[in-house]
Amino acid sequence: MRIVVCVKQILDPRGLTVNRKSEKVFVNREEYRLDPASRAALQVAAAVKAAQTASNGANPPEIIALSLGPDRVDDALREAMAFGADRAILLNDPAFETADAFVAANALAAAIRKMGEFDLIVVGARSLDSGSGELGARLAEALEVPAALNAVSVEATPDGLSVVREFGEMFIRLDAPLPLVLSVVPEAFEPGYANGWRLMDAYKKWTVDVWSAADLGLADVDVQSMAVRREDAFPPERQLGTRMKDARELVAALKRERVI
Amino acid sequence: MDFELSREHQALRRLVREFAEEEVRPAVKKADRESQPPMDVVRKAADIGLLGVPFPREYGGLGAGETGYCILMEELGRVDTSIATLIGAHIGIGAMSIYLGGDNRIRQTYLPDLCAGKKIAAFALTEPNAGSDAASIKLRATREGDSYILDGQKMWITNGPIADVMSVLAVTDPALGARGGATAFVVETQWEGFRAGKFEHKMGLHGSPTSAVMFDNFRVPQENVLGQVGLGFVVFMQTLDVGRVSLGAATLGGAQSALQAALAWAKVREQFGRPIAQMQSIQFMVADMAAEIEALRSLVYRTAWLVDNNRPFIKEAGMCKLLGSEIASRCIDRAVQIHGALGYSRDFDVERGFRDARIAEIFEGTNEIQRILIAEQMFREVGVRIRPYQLSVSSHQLSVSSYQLSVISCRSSLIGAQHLLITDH
Repeated sequence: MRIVVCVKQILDPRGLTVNRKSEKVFVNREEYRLDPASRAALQVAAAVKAAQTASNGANPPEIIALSLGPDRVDDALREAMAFGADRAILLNDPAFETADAFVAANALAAAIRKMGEFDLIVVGARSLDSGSGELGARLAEALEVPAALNAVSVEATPDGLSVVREFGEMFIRLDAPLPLVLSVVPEAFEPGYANGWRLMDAYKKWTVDVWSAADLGLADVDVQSMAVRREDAFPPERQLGTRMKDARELVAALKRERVI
Repeated sequence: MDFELSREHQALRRLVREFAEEEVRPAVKKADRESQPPMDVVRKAADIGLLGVPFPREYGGLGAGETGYCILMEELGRVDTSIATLIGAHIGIGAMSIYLGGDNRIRQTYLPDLCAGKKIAAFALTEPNAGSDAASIKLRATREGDSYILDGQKMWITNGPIADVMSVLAVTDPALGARGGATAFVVETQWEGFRAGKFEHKMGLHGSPTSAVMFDNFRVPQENVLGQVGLGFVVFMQTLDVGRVSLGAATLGGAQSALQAALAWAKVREQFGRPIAQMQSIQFMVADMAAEIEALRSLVYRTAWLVDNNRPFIKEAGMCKLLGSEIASRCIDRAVQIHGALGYSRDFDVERGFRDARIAEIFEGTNEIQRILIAEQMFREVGVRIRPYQLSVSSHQLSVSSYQLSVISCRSSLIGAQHLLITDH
């Protein structure tokens, strides 16, 4: 069994300051981290691997961490290995520098096809930075496999996975056969930490493979971004309300405003 | 010259910082108010390998050396010096004395469980009448067949009430005293005859449990001698030498957090119609803090580099402890001043920091002892001995081997001798 986890490195928001007046985001400290949704995806993959290993110990699943980006993403992939990935592949090419979700999904899907067989693709439902939430659906389309999106609970079953997913204001339980693309909602999973021993090995012993656009056999049309960045938009600042002394004052105010 | 941490050390710092923010910080206030060590947090730290940071992989550690260990202490100290003290006593002196003094069998017996957090370690040197004058310890170890019987008391033992494993220095030959008559043992507190005293009510470090420990007809097998019989003082002094570097790192974290708190408060607190950050008096305090912290950081990580690269580091280790504790005290004092009356309130972290900081000038060798050690090294470099040596211990007599410490063992044994001289009144 092969599990591929697509991970993303993001600019750590703790190093950012937003100035609403000048409508600018200042980067005080340029530090990068593994996206929380990617970490949840890795944890889900590790849990599926543990369950599969328990039931079929002779042939434990392999987890491959896959990411797209510049050299610095190497750190995110090594951290992914500390979270349990057995190996890691970085898609690094100047052609990917301006990649939007379309290009990213094309490149990742091409890399997954190049690996050969796969049973499960796990991605974060929404990254903390752009948060477009498109990757899971786009990958499923590109790889022509079913998708279980926005999962809040995942259990391995003999036939595949049992998934509870968000669906509007409801939840739906799916019995999902493999192969499958699964996207996970990070908030639904208890955050964990990288394993310190594996983290040291990830830097001292293990390597990250690097594949270029040429390795993936991508055509020009596959790496042409469709999204264009026009400007940064800042939502209006929320004004603090007026604190009411008690319910009586609140009711009076609501009546005055003709709400009730 | 390269001032950049290695990539694995940078990754370790990210991991520890995240752990400290997410797991340690929420537990700090409760531990301080209720004087209860946050053992669930310690267990979580153990699960991801943080209790074995400096030790080699063969003993269950991360193999991240003294540099990695300083990173751990700095990042924990930045959030809570109580837990830094608890984990520091466990790793930096408890387990470290076993690593430095123990042969492979003893290391294999104890270190894997200590690195995995299945057992907690402590280091028992101080006695009611032996503080700075460490050579005047009285705890007696009497040979009986193939065992030693320990009788006596130790004081101010960090982790005393929670330790499963303890390194203990005891007198095996009263005629020689510490001068060749003190032996280090590793003992298990579940053995009969051990008792921990009550939790000491301290000014600060409430989350770090401290107590006296009593040994009453306490039998230790001779296999549990650390190093050689009679040379226990050297093992203990070597351990403290290494411990001073990481203590400097923990105080660095404390000083850094004081600066961060001061900056955050000066930004939002307004007086005379503007944030107090605009006042020169505040700016001067912040500038002094930042400059001292930067100097300390350079010293601590350079000294860690010396340790990891088999260079002599005794003098620098003393400086880490001396400067670290005093800089941390000055920084937290300024941070309280910048906070004004609120800095005196228990609702603010700087109040706890102020109480926690003071002990660093006292424990692990008072700053007066550090000054003596540093001065002794300085004079030695110009050919002047402050006192004549009365104990001849050479490195080859010690079974201390690699924590990448081969060079150091020689230096430390000399320092061990100096301790005796300093305290020999």
